[in-house]
Amino acid sequence: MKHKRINRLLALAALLAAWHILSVIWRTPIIPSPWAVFNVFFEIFFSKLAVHALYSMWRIAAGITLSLIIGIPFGLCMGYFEGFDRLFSPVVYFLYPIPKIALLPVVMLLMGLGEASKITMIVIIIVFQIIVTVRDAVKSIPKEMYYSLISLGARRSDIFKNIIIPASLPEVVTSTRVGLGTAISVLFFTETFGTEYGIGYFIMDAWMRVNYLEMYSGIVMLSAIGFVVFSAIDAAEYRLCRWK
Amino acid sequence: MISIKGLTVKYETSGGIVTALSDIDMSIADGDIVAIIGPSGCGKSTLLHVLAGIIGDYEGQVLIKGQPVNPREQRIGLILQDYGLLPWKTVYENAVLGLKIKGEVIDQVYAEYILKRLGLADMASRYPNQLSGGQRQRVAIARSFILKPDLLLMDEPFSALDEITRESMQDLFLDIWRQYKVSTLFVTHSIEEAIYVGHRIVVLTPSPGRIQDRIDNPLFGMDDLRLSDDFYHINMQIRRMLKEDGAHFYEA
Repeated sequence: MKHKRINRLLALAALLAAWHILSVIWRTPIIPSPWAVFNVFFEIFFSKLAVHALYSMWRIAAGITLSLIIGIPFGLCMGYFEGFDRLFSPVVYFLYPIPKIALLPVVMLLMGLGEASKITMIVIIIVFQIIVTVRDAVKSIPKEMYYSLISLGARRSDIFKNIIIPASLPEVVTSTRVGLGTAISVLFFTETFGTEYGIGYFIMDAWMRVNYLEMYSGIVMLSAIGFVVFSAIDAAEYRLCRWK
Repeated sequence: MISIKGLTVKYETSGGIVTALSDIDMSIADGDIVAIIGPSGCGKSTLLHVLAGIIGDYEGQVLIKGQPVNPREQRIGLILQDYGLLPWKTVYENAVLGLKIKGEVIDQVYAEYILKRLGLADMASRYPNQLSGGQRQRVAIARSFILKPDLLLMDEPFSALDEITRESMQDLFLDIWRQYKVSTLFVTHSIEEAIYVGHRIVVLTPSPGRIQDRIDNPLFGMDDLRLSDDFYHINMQIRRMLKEDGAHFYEA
């Protein structure tokens, strides 16, 4: 644990050093020095940043939770029931490659400009990768694993509880992690429309006002959010997949 | 008592219907170990899967204690070459899984006694991937014995282990088996192992598997097996059978 903390501090120091060097080389207000940015960051943290960050985090959390609630049962059933897979795989394959961001205007028209459309965008983008990873995780369970349970007289519910769900859990965590990166970038995009809250809005607004220091503070906040959420997933993985 | 009459198993593949087992008649008396030996692809595992309730589509009659095979009613201990344990459950959880699936109260004293007997007492809270191959197989054996099975099915249980471990596992198995005398079907591809662990040895023909011969084995569980003349004798007899049949196979 201590080791991990030192690694994280080193990574942070290296990033800041690189940033500092870039700002010294270019000497332009578009790349301010990290120290100036951090000054502003702490200055406006409670007055402005915190509320925007909370809005964004709530949208990410809601989007991911909904995607998991929809994606996991679908993936599990597609992995386990042959017929279910034959029926839904083509549907998933048709929908998965559509650039969902192009659907933003449609979603906004249908769901309004508020929270619903932002969360929907996150869900329709990451739910497919969760479905596909979970399905493949279930399909790759060796059949010998089922044999010993069947010979013990297991019912289908026992098989789901004891094999299918725990076997696919690590893949669920991985796909959540991959989905999260996507979710944050989608979120940024959707927050530039129809809202006055959210870190995406804050960054764009600062940019419009040519306030680069505030804009960078927003970017720092965004990466801090990413760091917090990724760490939360790591912690969840450690708890859930202790056997690995 | 396990009785099998006229068992034939066919399954469909993309190349048509394959007969895996044809007209098998055999019985396993209470407290008997029957070793099944045969060339690869002779349907040894298929036979075992029928008894375990994994394959339900067969012709003929298979009775365990007078009842048709049903793993929900009967207590069947299945020990596979690999993958029998659930990697996300600890040694203890794996060992008592059978009782848990059956929804029975776990007799902790007995479970701990069996784990201790198999040298697993200190490892109860470890996960399978922290164990060696031999230790994992001991957990599988513990699981089966904790279940107090009507029938024990073993599918090449020791063939993935190195020779030294394999021999000590055979001894450990016979040791605990003598205490509980469970009717056992032991599938193996090693002639030597069949002679060491089987009261009776059933030799199967290549695909489709039929019973070629049955041998009552006087050498069951004997120490210093390899030093005896009989060992050489029976070994050669089985070897010849397996070869002879191969010859028929090619003639046909």
